[in-house]
Amino acid sequence: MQFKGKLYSQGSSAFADVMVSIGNYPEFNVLCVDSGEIHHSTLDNAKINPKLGTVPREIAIDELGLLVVDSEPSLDAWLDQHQSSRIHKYEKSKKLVLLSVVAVPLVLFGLFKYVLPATAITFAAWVPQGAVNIASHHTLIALERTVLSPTTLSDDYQIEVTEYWYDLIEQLEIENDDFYILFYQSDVFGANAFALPDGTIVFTQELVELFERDRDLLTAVLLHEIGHVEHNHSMRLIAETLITSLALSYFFGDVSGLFELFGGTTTTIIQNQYTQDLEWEADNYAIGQMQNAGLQPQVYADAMIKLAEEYGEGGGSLEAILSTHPSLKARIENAQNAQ
Amino acid sequence: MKDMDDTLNYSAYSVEELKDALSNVDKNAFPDRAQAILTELTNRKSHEDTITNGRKAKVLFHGNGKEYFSIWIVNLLLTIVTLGIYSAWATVRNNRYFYSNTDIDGHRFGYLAEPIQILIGRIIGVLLFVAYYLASSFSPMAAVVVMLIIFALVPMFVCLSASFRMRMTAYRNIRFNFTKNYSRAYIVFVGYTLLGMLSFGLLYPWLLKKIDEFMLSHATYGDKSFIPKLETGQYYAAAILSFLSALGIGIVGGSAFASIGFGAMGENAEVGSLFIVGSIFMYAFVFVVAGSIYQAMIRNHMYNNTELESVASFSSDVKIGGLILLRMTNLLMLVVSLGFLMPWIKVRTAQFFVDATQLNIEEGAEDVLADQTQSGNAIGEEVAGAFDIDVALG
Repeated sequence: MQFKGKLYSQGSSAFADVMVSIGNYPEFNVLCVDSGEIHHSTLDNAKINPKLGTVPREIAIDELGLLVVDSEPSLDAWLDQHQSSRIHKYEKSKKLVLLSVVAVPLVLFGLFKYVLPATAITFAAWVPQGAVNIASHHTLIALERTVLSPTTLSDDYQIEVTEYWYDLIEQLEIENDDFYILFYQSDVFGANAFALPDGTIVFTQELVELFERDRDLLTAVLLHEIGHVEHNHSMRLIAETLITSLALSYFFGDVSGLFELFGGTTTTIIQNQYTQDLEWEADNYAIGQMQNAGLQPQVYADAMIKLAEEYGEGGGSLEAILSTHPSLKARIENAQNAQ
Repeated sequence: MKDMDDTLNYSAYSVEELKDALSNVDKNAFPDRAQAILTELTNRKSHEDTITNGRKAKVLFHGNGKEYFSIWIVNLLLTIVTLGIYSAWATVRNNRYFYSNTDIDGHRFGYLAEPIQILIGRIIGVLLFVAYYLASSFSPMAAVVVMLIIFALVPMFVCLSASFRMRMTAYRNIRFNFTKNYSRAYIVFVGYTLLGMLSFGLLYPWLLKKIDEFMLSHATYGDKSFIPKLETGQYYAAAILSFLSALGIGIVGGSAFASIGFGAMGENAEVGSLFIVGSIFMYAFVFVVAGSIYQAMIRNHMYNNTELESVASFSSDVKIGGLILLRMTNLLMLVVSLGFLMPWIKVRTAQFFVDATQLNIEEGAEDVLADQTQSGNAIGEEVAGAFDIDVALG
């Protein structure tokens, strides 16, 4: 059998049109069309590039050069009789392609929904306390320098409410009750509260004022923040963000250019689902602890209603995907159903 | 004797000798001879023209979406079930598909990288990313330090990465290469970048030109160098035009949109959602238009003003409108198919750029010699050196 091809010489860009005639494997002849020269050669000291789609076959032969021949079934069969390319068979298999079409979305969903969060929880548990303390300390310093200002709430009020809370925390069954409560003024955060992973919990003055210093409502928020700390949510989120970015760039890395625009959006959407999960967990933790604190779950709902009055209750289907928090409407319903 | 002279063969004369002969010959005594010299000179001139003008080469892309889809999806599945480790092997399959299906003048490109080299580069990339991410999560101060270290390493990584990519590309059994000029890289990527920042971005187009010039002028094909003659003015024109277009679309679209959107937003949450979808599309549109203007103008400028010495000159005529249409339809295909049309998107994009590219092959194309780093065939050779890595995440 004869095949038309090109022979590229070794060490220069010169080439010759050739006819390749294959004989007893692994021997073959290469006839240069113009010069009439014939080279007897063998595949023994050749490197054959594995078959890929219908691209021409490349055979690098020591001393002779690079032989490039159009891919044809009879030539492929001859070339690959001893070193067949398994991956090419997979790529050609209709069954496997069909399986992939179904399996890729399913496996991705499973990975992001179950495997990744589970890995993140494990990671969160491994983070040494020293690192957690440094992270919290540095974050608070950075926030103090940028968006947090000293509060104008009176010392008396601060002492009164925190004493009540420290007592309450001791009564509650909390594994690690090393909490530290602070008040700040912040235009950027507005009415808000957040927890640092070492147990520092920050209330903004704006939140205290929105709740009209109602201790029960503020306690509901405190329990939510304690929930974040107890479930190690900061560390979990760090791990989840890290693994998500890595996974996305690994699975879709070669989808460059256009994907830059979407890569960011995708990462954000996936991360928001994770943070929403964390918010639900903190909510349910808080609602569970309300009774221990001598409060009705309705108080938790009332706190959310106050926030909804300030921020709107959300609830659009797209807002649900693009937001870091579940809609307040859903959170209010969740607390009310807990009664 | 006279007859002999008439048929005197001038083809062995050089152009200089011919000119000499023409001025010395007695035109009245030997008109035929003078005519013969003139004819020979004219022949030489037109021959010289064919050398300098070369000949047009066909640039073709042979890939097709259907064939590539099955390759892509199977490799994607393998990548996912191996938690990303197979991605290095998948990259080689994917890259080879596009390189080997790109054809200039009847010769295909070759992709030479071995998966293991890519895997090592990725492991380094992941470690750097994890280090940076953890440092920045745990301490904003540590993040600054790590950032500075990475910034200081960027010029080195750029050289290593460019060198890897070029060395893994072959054409006609000759490898491309990249001269790792570290000191120049530090001047461009650290020195000029700092200048660009100090200028509040006013020098960015100039910086981008310097970067393109650096990358092109250090690229080689065998023993031949690429010679770019880029103009700063073109970069400013492209940057200003894409900035103005983004601004224009932002103002016109944004205000029209806001007047419809905001009124309805408070009343109905679903209208709010629609508003968000609209904003995302606006953002995508601005991104596509501004990006396409810059890319089309700069690509054309770079191709039209770069030569591969005595081997080829290039030209590119990417139409801005065509590129915007391509990018917008790509985006639509991607969203509607939830990513499954990606193979067709990649194939039609490759086809688009190939169609916009012309090559002029010069006579030296046959005589390119492999550089010192290549001893045997481009494909068979073991090319992995200790620093032959492409530090990258994806």
